[in-house]
Formats: sequence, C-alpha cells, structure tokens
Amino acid sequence: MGLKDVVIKEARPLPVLLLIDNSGSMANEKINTVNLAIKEMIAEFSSIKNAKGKISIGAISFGNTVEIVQPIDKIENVNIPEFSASGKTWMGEAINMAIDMLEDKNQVPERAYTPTIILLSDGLPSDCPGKMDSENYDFSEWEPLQRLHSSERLKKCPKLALGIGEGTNYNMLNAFINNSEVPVIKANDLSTITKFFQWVTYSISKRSVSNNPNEPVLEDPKEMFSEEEVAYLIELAQ
Amino acid sequence: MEMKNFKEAKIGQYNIFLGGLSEKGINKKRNQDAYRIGIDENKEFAYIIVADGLGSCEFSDIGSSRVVEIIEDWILNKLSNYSFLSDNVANILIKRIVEAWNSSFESNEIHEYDTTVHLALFFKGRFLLGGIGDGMVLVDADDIIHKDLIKDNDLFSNVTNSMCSLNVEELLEFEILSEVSCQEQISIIIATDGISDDLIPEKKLTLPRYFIESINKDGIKGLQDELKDWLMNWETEGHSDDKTLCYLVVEKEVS
Repeated sequence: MGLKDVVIKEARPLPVLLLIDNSGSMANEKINTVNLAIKEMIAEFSSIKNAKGKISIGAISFGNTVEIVQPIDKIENVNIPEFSASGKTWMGEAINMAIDMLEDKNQVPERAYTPTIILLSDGLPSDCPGKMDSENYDFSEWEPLQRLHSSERLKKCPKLALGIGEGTNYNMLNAFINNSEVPVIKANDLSTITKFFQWVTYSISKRSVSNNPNEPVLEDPKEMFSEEEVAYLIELAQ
Repeated sequence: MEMKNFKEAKIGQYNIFLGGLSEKGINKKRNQDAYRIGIDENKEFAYIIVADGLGSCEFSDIGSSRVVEIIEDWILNKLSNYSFLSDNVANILIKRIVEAWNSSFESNEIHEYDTTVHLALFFKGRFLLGGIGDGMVLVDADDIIHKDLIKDNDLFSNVTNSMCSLNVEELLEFEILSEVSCQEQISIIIATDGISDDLIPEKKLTLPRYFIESINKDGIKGLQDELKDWLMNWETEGHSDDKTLCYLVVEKEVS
C-alpha cells in the first residue's frame, strides 16, 4: 500500500434532492414544463468542469405513489424518467422518505457538502391534518417538517420551494423552507417554472465551483423574479 | 527546543519520531491551518498540535495560530509541574485553553477567529490525545488498538464544533493512554479535514502502521519526503482545502 491508495479520487459530492409533486392536478402543461426544466438543469450540471463539489442528484415523486425515481447518484449516472401526473399529494410521506435518504450515510457520505432540497407542488398535502383548515393550521407543527427541521444533519440544508398555480398553500411551502430570507417562488404561469429551475441551476452551479461549496449561494430572487412571483415567510410558530 | 518540521530523539527507554507539514489550499490567499511539534528530552515530553481555522472566518489563520500557541505555552511552562498525565491534568488543560482563548480576542469579534484544534502529548510514558472539531486523530498502539478518536458527528463536511462553540469546555475532550496501552509501539496521526474528508474510511486506520513501517524502512526523512509529495500532489478532484498533518511515533526499547 502507498499513501495515494488511501485517497478518494472523486470530488466531494454536492447532493441535490428533488421532491416532485406529480399528483393529478399537475397533469398536462405543468408536468410537461417540469419535465423539460429538469432535463435542462441536468444538462447544465453535466457541463460543469473542475467543480470542487461534484453535483449528485436524487428525485422522489409523490402522486399516485411515493417513489424514489432517482437514487442520489453522480450527475453522469442520473436518468430521471419523464413524470406523468395522477393521484393525490402524498407530500408528508415524500418528505419522510427524503429525510431517510439524506440521513443514510451510504447514500450521502459524511464527506458530502450540505445537500439542497427542492420541493415542487401545486396543492396541499393529502397526508397533512392541515388540509381540512389550511388557513389556520400551523404547518411548522406538521410532523414531517418538524422531523426535517430538527434533524442534526438536515436542519442546515438549504431548502427551496416552487408553488405552482392557485391551489398552492404558501404557508406550507414557507414552513418547508423555514428561512425568512428565502422566498417560495410562485408560478402563476408556466414560464416561472422554467425560471425557477434556471435560478436553482445557476445557484447550485455557482456553489459547486466556489471555494467553499458548503456556503449556500443563492442568486438574489429580485434579479430573477417579479414581486408577484415571490412569497416570503409571513409568520411561523417558533 | 528545536523548531524543525521533523525530529527524532530518545527519551529514556523511548525512541520518538515526530513531524508535521502543511500545504496551503489551491487558490487560497492564506493557509488557515497551523501546527506545532516539539520535544524536550530532559523534561520527557513530546507533542504535536494541529489547528484548522474555519474557512468561513475572516481571521481564522490568526485563531488557529493562537490556539496552537496557547497549548504549546502550557506544555512548555506548566506540564512539568505534574508528575504524570491524568484526567485531572486534562481538565486543567481544557480550562486553561478556554480561558486563554476567550481572553485572546474581543468578544464581539472572536467568532471571526474560530478554529478547531487537536493535540497528542507524550509525557513520561503516557499520552494525552484529543481536542475539538473535525479532522482525524488516528491511533495505532502495538497493532492492537486502531481507532480514530474523532467520533462520527453525523454531520456533513465542514459543519463542525470549534473553539467558539457555546459549550466548548464540554466539547473539548482528551483521553489518556497509560503505559499499559503501549507496550512496544504507538503511532498517532493528527490531520485536518482537508485530508481526512478525502480518505477512504476503511483504509485510513492503516495509516499509523504505514508510518511506522515507512520510518523503519526509509527513516523519518524518507517519510517526511513522501508526505510532502502526497500533500502537494493530492489526487482528489477539485480539492482546494488547506491540508495539515502531524505524526508522533513512540517505540519502547525492548530490553
């Protein structure tokens, strides 16, 4: 054995986990736009050279079923299938599955840089008690979000969210982000979905080549989105 | 006290080999790591200290140098007051480090000097090992004990405890290894996470033994040259962290 045999040759992973709502209400143009935007994002990530943090991607879809459609893997191995939309919005189960994935050191090793979690949804979670009275429900009390924000490993992970259309509950998505400086992006038309993915792609690409990929880099939302396209945290129970 | 980056000497019945080296990260303005090695044959001690200034802190290069200085100062001036290393001595050292650290900088700026620190101290046949924060402290004693003293902290890289952690006094931990733990040979390696994060976990524990074999085969100068080449030509893609490593090998002469 020589000293060089002990060194890992690959750059440290910079994981990105996508949580994609493919419930029935996402059908047609919405899911088609998401499918295309994901393809473009992966193509951009694949072209990054000399990254300090090597981007790896995982994806969980929640619609008819909650499914790991892409285990976290390095970008060159990623093959996310096109989503079709049907069924309910089992978001809580998807968040719990995401926590399990990211806490598993076989999937995300200790040497990895802090993962980014991205949530896309157009509605209320079907598995949340707050769906009956979403205006008054405190989503920060929802068990999957409590688990996410109290996880030693995950509480510092940057979280981004896109709400698509009128049926979105922004308090819920803000409770997911849990950071008053990061807005939920509101897509009232399809072009904002594309812009959201461009924003994510730019921010994560920049992080991957920075000197410290653990420091969240977020392109200023004001540069990318209009006032109508952002929703900041209004009030969250501490 | 000779300031040199590797040295061998004899203390009583022990042959001591120790060395250290540090490589600034690519494209970095300053090396934020600091280290010291030292040996005193008359006072019967040898030590290695490694500190890793936090990348996000503006003056962490000063912080890492300062904490190394605090510990070295205690070793040079206070250690000989004690007859042997014990948990009590470790607690006194912890108190001294925290007090001296907190009084080194203005309280409103101290977080900009933040750093981790680890040390290995040999004194009259016993060892004190430990510190605070990430990186690695590898120990191989008589080819029986193989371990990394830095526990798996369940976090991602670069998220670490440090001298500015709120409960630093509890997080600073030292372990004493008595003469019984080392009948013949002990090899200790301390390194910053710029090194440890890029090592294959199941192979890194073989490094202390490799260091002993390398010293036996090529001498300490040979090991030092090999380490220099290793750090300068680090093979991990996209690496750019500062890399610092110190080692302490103690061999007991068998009569």
